[in-house]
Amino acid sequence: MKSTINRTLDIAWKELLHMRKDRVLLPFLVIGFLLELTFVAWATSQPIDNLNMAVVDLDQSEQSAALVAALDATDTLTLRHEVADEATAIEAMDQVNTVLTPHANTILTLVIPAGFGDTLTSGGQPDVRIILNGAESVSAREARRVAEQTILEQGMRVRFNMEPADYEDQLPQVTVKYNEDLERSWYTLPGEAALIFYMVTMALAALAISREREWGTYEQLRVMPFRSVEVILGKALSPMLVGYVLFLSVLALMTLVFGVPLRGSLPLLLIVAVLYLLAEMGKGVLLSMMARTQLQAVLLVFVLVMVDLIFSGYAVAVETLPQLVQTIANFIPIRHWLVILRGVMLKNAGLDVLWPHIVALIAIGAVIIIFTAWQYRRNAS
Amino acid sequence: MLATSVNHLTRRFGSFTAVNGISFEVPEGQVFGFLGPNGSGKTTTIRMLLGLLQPSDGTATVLGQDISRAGNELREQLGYMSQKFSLYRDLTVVENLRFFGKGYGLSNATLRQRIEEVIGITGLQGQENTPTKNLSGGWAQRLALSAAILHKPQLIFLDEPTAGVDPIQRRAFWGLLYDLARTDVTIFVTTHYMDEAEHCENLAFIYFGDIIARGAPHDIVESTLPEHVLAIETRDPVQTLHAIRNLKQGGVLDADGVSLFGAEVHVNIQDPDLAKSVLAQNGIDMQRTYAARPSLEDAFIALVDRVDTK
Ligand SMILES: Nc1ncnc2c1ncn2[C@@H]1O[C@H](COP(=O)(O)OP(=O)(O)OP(=O)(O)O)[C@@H](O)[C@H]1O
Ligand SMILES: [Mg+2]
Repeated sequence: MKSTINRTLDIAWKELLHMRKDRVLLPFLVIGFLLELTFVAWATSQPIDNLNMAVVDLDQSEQSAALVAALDATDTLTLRHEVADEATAIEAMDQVNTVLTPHANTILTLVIPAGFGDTLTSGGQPDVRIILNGAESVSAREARRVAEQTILEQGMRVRFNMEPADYEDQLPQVTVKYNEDLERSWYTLPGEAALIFYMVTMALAALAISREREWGTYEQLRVMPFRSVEVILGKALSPMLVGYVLFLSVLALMTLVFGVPLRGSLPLLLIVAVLYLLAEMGKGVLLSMMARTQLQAVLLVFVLVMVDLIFSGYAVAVETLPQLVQTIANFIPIRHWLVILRGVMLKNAGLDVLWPHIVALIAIGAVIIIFTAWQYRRNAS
Repeated sequence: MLATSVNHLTRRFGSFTAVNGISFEVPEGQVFGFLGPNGSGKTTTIRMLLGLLQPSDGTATVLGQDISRAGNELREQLGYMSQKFSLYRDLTVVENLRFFGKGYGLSNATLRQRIEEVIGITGLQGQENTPTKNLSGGWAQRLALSAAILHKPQLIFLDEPTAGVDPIQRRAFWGLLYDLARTDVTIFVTTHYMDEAEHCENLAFIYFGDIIARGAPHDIVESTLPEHVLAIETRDPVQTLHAIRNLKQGGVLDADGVSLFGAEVHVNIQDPDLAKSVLAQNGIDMQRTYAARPSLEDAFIALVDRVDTK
């Protein structure tokens, strides 16, 4: 047993030597991904603001001007065009050349019918219409929400002389748990961190064996009296180490700089991270063994990343996906890891609720590593 | 005891048979030469013996163990220097040796001592911290040999260890092999160089999957070519070669083989004097002639000739 550990470490040490001698790969990966995280954090911590709004005001009354002003006053919408008719407004929406005319891409067009002011002051219901640019679905949804709310408030103000505070008790009481201000970055960043962790370790692991093949050293390694598990784990260890250090940096960056809370147990997170890494590493080394060249291995990783992401819950909650996809997702390590990571960070989830995901991670990891070791022993052909 | 014994070993790649039911034996403590032209199955055979490749058929034992059941205990007794340079180019000489030594289970103290020893044996002193990629061909081969012998294996497979190495380095390298063989180590070496083959105690000659000759070099020559060689220096060797072949085919000259040997034409013949007069009568241009015993190379060319004309 002791010698197995020693021999695993011998291989791991050699891998670290390779990594140290490669002056490009590691700095490139680490700096690249830390920058990526910073950009994502910065971008998602910004609210969706200053969306382009066009107005077709066929009424030209005091009330229509007040409505346009109220919309323009929101953070979300900014009045860019006042156009004479709907056709011109649609034209502006069609305009996608945002390089030369950055304001052209209209997200929302407001059409105020003639007689709007009169209808409103006489207590009627005017037909205000909004036209949304569905090509920018996220922005359009946000623009719609804000526009509807503002139009409603403006109507209440003119027709009943009521300010929002006057009818607040009519609305449902909203309490937001876990992410009180619904900060987008709190949801996005842990996902991004998981992705970085995943990509770096996979990319490095993919090189582990394919590189030896390309160097012509693979057969030499195979005639040495190493056990297959020693080779697989030894090969996995140095990417794991790099991945782990990167994970710690990303975690620190997220919590200390970008303010994502870490409410649950840090030790739990750190331990589960190792389990997760083992599973992913097994996969990376397996790919590496299947590939004939390093290039092939890296391309295989690309494909795998794409597939895994569908099931991961990285961008879309897994629960909203079709049943079949949800079932498959149970076999994807990163899916469990994301649940655990978000759960521990935002919801203070502990072992008592997370254990099924942890057990799943261990099971998947064990199967992958055993399969990989078996493949290594077998592929004398 | 036999270091290796091969029985009807076969390897097919798809419908192509790379090694065709070969059998031979390698006595312990010898330098055993495994010869054959490019693509005749030498590397394939070695890879099967090392357990890197599954035989399609047949069996073999290495150091008394069946290769189909061989495990790490056997691997510890074997050394392998593959045809392609297979050390880590980015690591230094010592880093490479340390990894190999540890891989073969040497303790730190033994390892330090052995590294010093093999570096002394192979003359790599002063290059310890050179990155392997900066070593020239001959030195790289020495390092590869160092790595293969570091753990004192009983049997070493060397696949064309001297390809692309200059004659002086080549001789030095073979000096190292003999020194090793004197210590009971068995050396299984493939080569294309006939001078190297002549120095092996036993040979097997593989020709496109089949073993066409086996034995000590001297015996192979003797049994293949009991005749003498008449060497002819001539102004136009190619033309002379064809002219003599024509005589042979026409039944005028009773020769066993005619071949080009450098700028000379070699004729394998029972009676060199008689042949010389026949050739002279038929107007063959002979600047200078001498009769000799055939070399190993002559024997192999004759053997290949016989197989090809069959
Ligand atoms: N993995 C493989 N798949 C298909 N064919 C192979 C494979 N390995 C070897 N061969 C074929 O088997 C034949 C024997 O190859 P091998 O490498 O054993 O020859 P060799 O005697 O070592 O030649 P050389 O002197 O050039 O090294 C060749 O025709 C080669 O193309
Ligand atoms: Mg070969």
